Amino acid sequence: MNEPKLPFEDAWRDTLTDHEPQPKAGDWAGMEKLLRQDASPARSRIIEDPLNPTGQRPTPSLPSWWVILALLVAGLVYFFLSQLDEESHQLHSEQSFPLIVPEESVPVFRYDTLYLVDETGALTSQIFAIDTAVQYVTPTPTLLPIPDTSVTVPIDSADLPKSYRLDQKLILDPLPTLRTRFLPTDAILLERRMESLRQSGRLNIQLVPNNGYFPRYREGF
Amino acid sequence: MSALPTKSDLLNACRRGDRRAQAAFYQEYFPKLLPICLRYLRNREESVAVLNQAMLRIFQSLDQYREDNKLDAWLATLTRRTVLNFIRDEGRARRRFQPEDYQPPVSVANRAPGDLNAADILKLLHALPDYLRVVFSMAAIDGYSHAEIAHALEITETASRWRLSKARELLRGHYLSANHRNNFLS
Repeated sequence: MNEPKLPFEDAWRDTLTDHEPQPKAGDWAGMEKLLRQDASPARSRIIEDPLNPTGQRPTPSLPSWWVILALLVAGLVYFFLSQLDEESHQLHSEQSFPLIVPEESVPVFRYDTLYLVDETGALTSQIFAIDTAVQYVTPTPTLLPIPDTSVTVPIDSADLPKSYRLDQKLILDPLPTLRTRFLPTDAILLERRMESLRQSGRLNIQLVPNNGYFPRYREGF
Repeated sequence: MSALPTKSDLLNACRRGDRRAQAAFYQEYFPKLLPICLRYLRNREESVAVLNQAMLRIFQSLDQYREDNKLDAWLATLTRRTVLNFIRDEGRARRRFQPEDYQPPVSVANRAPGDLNAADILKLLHALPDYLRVVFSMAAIDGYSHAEIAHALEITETASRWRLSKARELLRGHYLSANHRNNFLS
């Protein structure tokens, strides 16, 4: 693509060169405004110079420095106060509640596969259970009460008993049998069923730790 | 009766910041410098705004001017440089806001293109997209080479050639369409 030179370009150049548009009133007004804006910083320098004849840097204006300094001080005070408040809050919480030491990881077992065997021990069938029985072994949290060392009670040795006598009846009586006060859940029923199967020698349970995945489906034989 | 102030007196007064001298300088050189802005930029308002920036730069740089009777060329160079800086800062040398074949309606006098007056020529130039008008003005009016245009606008020489060619094609189309409309109306 190569458009040749237009035949009238030279004439246009001459016409545009001779063209001299005259300025309007507003044009100079805009120029004057620009000149005023440009001159104002120079004038302020001229006014400042006699006040500071040594050529040193002028003293910074008072409000700006004091505002910055005050903000810095306020920030530091707020920071230290928040730190103190946090420490006192931690002390208070430690004294008010016993320490709770839970287990970090809770083992979870999933009953994945049920193997049924006959009297000879040969495998007769295999049942794949997907997410039917899950046993969560939840340990009891260990409660460690903090001994209150702030109060010291003087103990008189005369108040201590010389010997302890236990009631013979309490010693000889058998302990009462504990009874469960709740209905067995489905998981408990399943556990009992599998326990009976295990007792009869027909059950071989493979415990698969729950690693986050469902057991993969396997074809029976 | 005091003698008329010479150009040197005027320049010295402007260097001192004499506002009346600056106004006189502005009135004298405005007609010579505004056409430079007009053929690069979109309209008169924008051209005057950029020319005022150039004038401010001229007043600030008058101390650097050595009086060697080439004041007009020095002023034109400063003005053209200010305009090109403005175009470059605005990114106009690269942006394409409208389709290349878009032809806005232009109304010019029904006469041969070589006989058009300056106002009509500027109408046709202003109908061009920015990135084409700048290259056409630099090459066809101000006589820049493609290497100089490429350097000034930060484009390749091939792009400069293509833009000049495209601008010529569009100018021809604008002129013909305007004349056809005028013939149709008359």
